[in-house]
Amino acid sequence: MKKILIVDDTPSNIDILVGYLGENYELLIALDGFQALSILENDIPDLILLDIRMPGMDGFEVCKEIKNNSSISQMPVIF
Amino acid sequence: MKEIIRYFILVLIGIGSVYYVNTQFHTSLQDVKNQFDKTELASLEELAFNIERTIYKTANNKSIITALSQDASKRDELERLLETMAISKYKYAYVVTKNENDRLTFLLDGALNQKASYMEPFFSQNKEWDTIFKDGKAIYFQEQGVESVWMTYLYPLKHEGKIEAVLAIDFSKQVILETLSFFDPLQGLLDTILIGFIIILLLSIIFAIQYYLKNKESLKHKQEALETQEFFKEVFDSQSSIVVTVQNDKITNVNKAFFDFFGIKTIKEFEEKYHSLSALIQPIEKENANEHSYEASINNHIFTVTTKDIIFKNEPLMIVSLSDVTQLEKATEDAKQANKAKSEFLAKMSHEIRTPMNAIIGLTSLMLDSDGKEKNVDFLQKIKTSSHSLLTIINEILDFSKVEAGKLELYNTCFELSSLVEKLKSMFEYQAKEKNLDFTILVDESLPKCLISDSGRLEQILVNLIGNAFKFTQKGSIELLIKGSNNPNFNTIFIIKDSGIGIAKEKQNTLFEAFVQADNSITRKYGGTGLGLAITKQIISLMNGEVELESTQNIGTTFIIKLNLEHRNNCDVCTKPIVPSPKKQLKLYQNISILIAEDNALNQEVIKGMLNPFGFEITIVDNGQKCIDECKMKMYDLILMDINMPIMGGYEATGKLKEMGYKTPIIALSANARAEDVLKSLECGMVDHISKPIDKDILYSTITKYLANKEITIKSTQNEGEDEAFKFETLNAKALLDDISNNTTLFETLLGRFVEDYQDYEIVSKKLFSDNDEKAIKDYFHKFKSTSGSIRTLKLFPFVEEYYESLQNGERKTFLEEQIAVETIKVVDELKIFLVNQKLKSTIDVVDEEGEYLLDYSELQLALESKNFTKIKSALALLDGSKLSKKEKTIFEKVSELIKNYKFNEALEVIKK
Repeated sequence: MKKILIVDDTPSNIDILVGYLGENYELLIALDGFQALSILENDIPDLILLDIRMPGMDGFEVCKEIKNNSSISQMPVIF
Repeated sequence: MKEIIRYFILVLIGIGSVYYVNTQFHTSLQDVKNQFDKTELASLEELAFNIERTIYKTANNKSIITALSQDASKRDELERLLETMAISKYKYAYVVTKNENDRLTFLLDGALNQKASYMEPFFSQNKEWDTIFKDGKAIYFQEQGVESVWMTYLYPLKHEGKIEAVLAIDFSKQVILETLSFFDPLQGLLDTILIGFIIILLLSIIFAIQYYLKNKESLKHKQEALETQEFFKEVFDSQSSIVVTVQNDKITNVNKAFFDFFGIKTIKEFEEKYHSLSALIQPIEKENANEHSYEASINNHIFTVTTKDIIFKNEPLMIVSLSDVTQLEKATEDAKQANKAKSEFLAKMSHEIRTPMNAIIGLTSLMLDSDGKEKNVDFLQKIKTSSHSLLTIINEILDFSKVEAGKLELYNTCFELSSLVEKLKSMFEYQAKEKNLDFTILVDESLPKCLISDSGRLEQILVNLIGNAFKFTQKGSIELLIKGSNNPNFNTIFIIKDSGIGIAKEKQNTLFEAFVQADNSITRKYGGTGLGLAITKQIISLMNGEVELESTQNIGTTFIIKLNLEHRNNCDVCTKPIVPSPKKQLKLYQNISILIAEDNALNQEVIKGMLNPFGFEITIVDNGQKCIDECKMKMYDLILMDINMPIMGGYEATGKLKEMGYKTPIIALSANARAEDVLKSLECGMVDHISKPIDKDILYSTITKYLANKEITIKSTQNEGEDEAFKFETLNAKALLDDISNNTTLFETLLGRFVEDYQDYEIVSKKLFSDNDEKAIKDYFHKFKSTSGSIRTLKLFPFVEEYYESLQNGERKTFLEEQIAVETIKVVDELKIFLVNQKLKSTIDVVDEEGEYLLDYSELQLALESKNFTKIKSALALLDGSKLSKKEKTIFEKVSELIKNYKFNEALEVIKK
């Protein structure tokens, strides 16, 4: 099963994604950018679905961090 | 000097002209003399000729010498004759002869013959008569005397062709003198000088006058020039722009603004301080600067520098004008900021709207896609929440645009303060419980019962500020204090105090501006449009009130609203009593029992459905007889009576009830809406008439009218304080406490048991329905009906009751199943919060029958750490929460709930504890 990381601060948005993707993919979930990055330290998903407007650290910042990290910089990110 | 030269020239010209005129005059005098000579001589000649003839006639044409010497009488006669003939004034005639010695002898002497003395030299010079009188013609000669001039006309007297004597006629001495005075050159000169002097004098006077006038003119000119200069200086100085003129790199002139700006008094001072102007006015942006108009920064002020080169008195002159545009820059900057805020607002707004929209669309499509009912309630709940937040946003935007357009109007009404307080309390109670915050409303007892204001808007203000307080407060308390004030301007003060995150000092000023939130990150964290406070402030201003803010970061915020509201102690006096909406009003009533007599099942449903939201105790009967029976057993608060029913109609039943002395107001329900039908209803003792099909609003307002008439007490806050902890949204705690004689321990036990029994309702009922064992279902709901009824649940009980009845009737009302599920969860949740709040763990332990049973959370813990939702879900599914102790169950439920909201970290923390 392919792994997808969902990063979104709105639970109802995650509900929807889980509803659509939960059956066929293994889902990792982060409610903000910091959680997302800490997940990426231990896990390597096949795709990241990244919300842009989030408290603390927004999607762009998260993406920049990912792209700066050579081990995961190739990971596809969808905003 | 020039003037003097001119003066002299003028004098010379004057004298010259006098002299010229004089000479002219002189010449003409000569002419006069000539003219005179001519006429005088002519008359003299004629006189002489006449005298000659007379003489010779008297002498009988003989020689007169002879005749006169011979006859003395003749001589006298002639003398008299001469006298007579020469009568004309100043003329003397006499006859002169020569004797042998050539001595002159006067033959005939007129008046004076001594004249010979002056005539002698003339005759001695010209001895011969013939030489004197050439051709025998007369001559005249003149002799200059000391005082006068003599003129004598000499006429030769001839006898036989030979001059024998001379007739002399003297001119008048005066005439000659007169004539001669004109010819006196000395006199002429003197005259000229005299006239010259007079002319000089006159000219001098004229000149002096002229000089005076001219001086006066020039003085006036000078004055005017000074005034013009002053005027231009005034204009120059009045310029708000600094104006400097520069010649050869030197400042020549400056205006007042220059001195004012640099704080100096002289140009020299400036030069000492700044050395050079050109260095000071260097353009800010050197690259794109226009040579003649650019911006420069001087002493922290931004100036637009404009230079202009002109030629003044053949010298190049540069005029430098400096306009201070700092304010303008600031205004531009402010406008940019406002624009930016607006753009940010739009971006924010789009996010704010999209988030709930996304949830609504996404969740509904998910529900449409899924066949099963799994999670539907949860989704519906979320959709509902999202819709509400969307509605809030839309309302705020609409309100704000109303404010912007100045279309927000106030509608003042009289309202009871207690009902406002009650409303706010019920509105925020749930939130307070959910966030575990203390929410209190204190009302100053000095305040009257009723106020006059726009209650809706006042409520909006308070809801907004209290809502904010809840939003930004994580722990502690929120307090609303309403008190009176002696301030003549504001007699009512509302204070909303929280112990939240607070607002930084520098953000406090802009907080009430539209589109502004204390921090943009606030939006991301807490959401909101940023319009709420702007609207609040506008409404307060419309009410002529003030709002103040005191806040310390991380300690809390206090909003103080000062209003001047009309106070009323007696609400009856209010011209327009406030009924905010009958529906809202109805919610305030408790323990209301309504009897409905209606035979049509559909109509029963409709009425019941309409009355459902208020938690009334509703009893339904299907004919008049049953209605009377029911009334014999119980005193209802209100009866809704259908007119056409089998067995016994509405009119008859009403009549009988009235006979019985049953005082409950009866309202007619009838398809007949004609006036006479209404009249008939009233005649037979009904209080009002509602026509079918029933309009919800009419139903509500009519009911409200009669409930109010019955003076059913509205819950008031002041005396409700002690029951604070026992206030429930989902059940009538007061009634329950009454039932059990206020035994609070039993109260908690009952509630705890209910929680225990029904917290798994969702699972249990699902199994029940899927098993589809009719009897089991009936049994379950029978029990459920009594349990939900016994703890006096407000909505749940009627649902369950109705559902159970439908099962009894064999017409299972499946639409109620969902409602029951939702309502059960609500009741259980509220009770749980209550029980936890009451710190009744021990009580729960007491009712714990299963004993300790610990779950193995290790798998879930690992899954949670990885944040892998797929793993978390399966780990959670492995855990069976059904056989847990109360305490464990609470933990498990908490964990499940957190996982449901994807709060994995928090779930982990709960497990670790």
